[in-house]
Amino acid sequence: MSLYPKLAWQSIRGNRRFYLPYAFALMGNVAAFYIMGALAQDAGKADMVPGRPNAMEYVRVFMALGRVVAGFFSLIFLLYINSFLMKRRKKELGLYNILGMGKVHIALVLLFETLFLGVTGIGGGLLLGMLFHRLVTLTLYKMLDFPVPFGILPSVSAMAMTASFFAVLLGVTLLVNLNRVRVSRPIELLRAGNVGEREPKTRWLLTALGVVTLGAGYYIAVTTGDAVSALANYFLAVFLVIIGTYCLFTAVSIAVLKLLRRNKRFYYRTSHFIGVSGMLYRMKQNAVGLANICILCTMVMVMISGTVSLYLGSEQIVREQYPSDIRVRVAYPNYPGSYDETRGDFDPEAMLEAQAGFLEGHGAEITKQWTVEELPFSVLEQPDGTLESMRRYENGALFPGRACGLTCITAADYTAITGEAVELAKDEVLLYGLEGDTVTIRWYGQTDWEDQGTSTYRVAGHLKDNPRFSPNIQVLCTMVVADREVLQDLYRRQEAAYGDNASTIAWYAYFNVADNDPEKLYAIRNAYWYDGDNYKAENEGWLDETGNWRSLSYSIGADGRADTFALSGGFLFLGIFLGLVFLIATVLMIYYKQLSEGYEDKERFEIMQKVGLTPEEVKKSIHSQILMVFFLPIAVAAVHIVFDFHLVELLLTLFYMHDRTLILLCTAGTVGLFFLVYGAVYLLTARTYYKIVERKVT
Amino acid sequence: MPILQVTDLKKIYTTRFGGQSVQALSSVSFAVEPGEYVAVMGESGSGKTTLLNLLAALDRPTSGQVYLDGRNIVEIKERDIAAFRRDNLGFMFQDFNLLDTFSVKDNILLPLVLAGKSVREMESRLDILTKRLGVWELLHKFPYELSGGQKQRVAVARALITEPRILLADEPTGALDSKSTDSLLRLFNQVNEEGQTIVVVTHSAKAASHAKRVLFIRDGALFHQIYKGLCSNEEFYQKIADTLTLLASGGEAEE
Repeated sequence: MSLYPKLAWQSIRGNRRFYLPYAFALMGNVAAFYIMGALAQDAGKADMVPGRPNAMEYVRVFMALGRVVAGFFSLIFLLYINSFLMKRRKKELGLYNILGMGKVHIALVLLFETLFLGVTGIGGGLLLGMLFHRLVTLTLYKMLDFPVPFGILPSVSAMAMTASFFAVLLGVTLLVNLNRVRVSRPIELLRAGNVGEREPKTRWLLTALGVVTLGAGYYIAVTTGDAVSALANYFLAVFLVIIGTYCLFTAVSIAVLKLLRRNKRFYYRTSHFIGVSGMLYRMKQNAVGLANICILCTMVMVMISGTVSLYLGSEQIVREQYPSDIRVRVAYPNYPGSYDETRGDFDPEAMLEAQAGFLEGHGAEITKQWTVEELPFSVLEQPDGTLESMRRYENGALFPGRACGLTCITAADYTAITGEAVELAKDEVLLYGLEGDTVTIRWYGQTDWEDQGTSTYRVAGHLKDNPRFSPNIQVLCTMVVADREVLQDLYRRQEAAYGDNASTIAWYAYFNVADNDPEKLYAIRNAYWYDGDNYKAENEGWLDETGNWRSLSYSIGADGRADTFALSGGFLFLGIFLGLVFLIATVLMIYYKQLSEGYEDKERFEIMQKVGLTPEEVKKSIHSQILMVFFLPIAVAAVHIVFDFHLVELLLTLFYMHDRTLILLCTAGTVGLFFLVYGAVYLLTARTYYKIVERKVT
Repeated sequence: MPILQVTDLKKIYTTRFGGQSVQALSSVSFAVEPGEYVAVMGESGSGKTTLLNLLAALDRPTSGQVYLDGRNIVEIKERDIAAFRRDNLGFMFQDFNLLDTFSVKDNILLPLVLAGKSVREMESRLDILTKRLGVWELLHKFPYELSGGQKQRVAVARALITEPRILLADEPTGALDSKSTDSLLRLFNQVNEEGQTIVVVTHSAKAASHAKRVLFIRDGALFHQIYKGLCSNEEFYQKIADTLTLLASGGEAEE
């Protein structure tokens, strides 16, 4: 071996305490990136899982998305580790320079180091990726409720993509390092380890910014009322909280510690004295790192708890959203102006009869059938409790008031859904989600806002559960009215008020059949379907007697089930997979932190003992500081999760998941488990720390 | 009665696996009277730092006794030793050993905080001491802002704030330039005249020439001692230099 590769190899060996984890991290990232790519490619192959084009498309998009996230993350993470490594190695490089190696030669050594690292990391990572590709595929398909696929082959193009991506990434780190060597002077390189420590300054502006952004982020998270605003606000809230977290760790912490230090009675006590000043310095050096760890932890916990909730809730989602084997949905009345006089109004009985006849005509035996009719529309709740139809100013802004999604169903349908018999007079309603003894809806026209009078009902009872769940796009309210006549009356007034923006009534027919084997149901649906666009049924004319309606959709439960599981399984997989990648990163960051803390503390440890602190006291005080430093991020992350819970809950309603207990359990479980893992990692890495520090303790 | 009495002190270091052993101190006995200023001299490796560590109870002797104010510090229990050291001994080191996380004020107060003194007492002691030692105006600076000489003066203040029985200094001038060295040695003379007992370990003849008595150590044993008496610093320096020459040539003659 010639000189430079040899030197490079020796320095990697000599610094293996730093390089070994780096190489492992690289391998892990490479493997994750490759697997994502290979899965996306597998999903793109039409013949991988026959008959599930929808679901496979979900998987493909998810994996492609996951790969982008993983790639972006690798970039940041590897740069972070690299900068840490280079900081520790400045002295060594300075020594080379002083011993007569030119900067070109140092660059060569660095080049070879990167090469060795790259070959090991990328090669090992790809190998690892190929090994786990099959296992991961089987796990994924199991989660998705897919049949086990055949022919899981290593993907050459994914490999090439991965290798070149990481080669570029390492190239970037090499360039960063080369630049660092180029601009440095040898004496600086040599001394870099012990430059005088400046005391951190209190940065009031940043402190204030931190308090404000964190407060604003939390405020948004807690006060957001519906899923659509949650979706819109989520990234804003996350952005604010991330900024707030960085400020919290960099500025707020120092401001607080300095205030503590100003209090003499508090500060001049053995435990506080060492703790406060020690923390002040630790926070200065570690603030950004700790904020990173905190944000990573939060992300992992949100991802895992959210996706696990969704996955575990899938059965219930399917049960609620596809309560029957077959569902027919009809929206009526017609588009204004397209009313066909010869056909007359929509006739639910005729429609139900025709649909049942169609099923029986295709050999299905109906075991249960029921219908539900609902009218959903939006209203603005005023402070005095009255509801107003939506009005907009000319600039498009809504009139003031709390936006509510009001769903109206009839008492008979309520009984059909819940099995609970109710009897209501024409002017009586049952109410979910609104307070008060009466409900008053005031109708306004759209163009000139003319007052069209009110509809008023007496509230006969308040419901504890929402009988009709739908995505929480607004605050959800449900009103059970006496009968179809009242419902139709509401529809007409609503249509008069809303004009072109009026909602239609949705009529649902549900059928359960004796033999609900998905293949049979698919066959029935295919008989119903024509060309993907038009309904065979329509063409054949057997719905002619059902009156005017706007649109009709035909779906089978098995489809909904497959789609739901593909979606939630894909999310879960992505959540866990990326969660693991992030977790590995967190672990490594903690490890490197422990190492650098160890080197920092070694000297302090000695001095304090000479000045009269017992070794036990020193150990205790340092231990408590380390504990604080390491558990601060996860504690803050847990607080983030608490505030974030409401938003996650709202977002999950977009996927029809609304089981608060389950979400709460999943979140608590995830946080608890994460604390355990984090604690274990802390204990393991703390050993490295003590090994470094203890060597000199007498 | 001597404030410090050392009898037949012996220290043998054994390597971790017991194989080799090195005798750092073979047999050392001497006494220090209250208000004395003693310098211990010797080449590197002569055992003088080992001696200091034993006096400071930072290390345990293989055999022998160290009496401070009539109390045998060798017999003090391990868990009491830190408190004992804190209350009775003041330390200084060649590399200052100031904590970079504390301001000058907090560095000086550190031993008092550890001893659990009240804030009022700490501040009154600090006020008097730092004015006496001329570090008062440095109080709100941080170690990285100080010169070597300033750091060492701060270290003196930290060592003296507990009003120790003895000030132990390990090569206090080792990292200082000549101007700072002079200033520090004058400071030592000043606090010694005010009644502070001082024991300095050094291999600098100049540093030793400010002491009232010099002990010479060679190969782990007390080799010689000379008193300053009424000599000036320069005359005493000459005497020390002569003794050192004797020490070195004597060493060669034996081989």
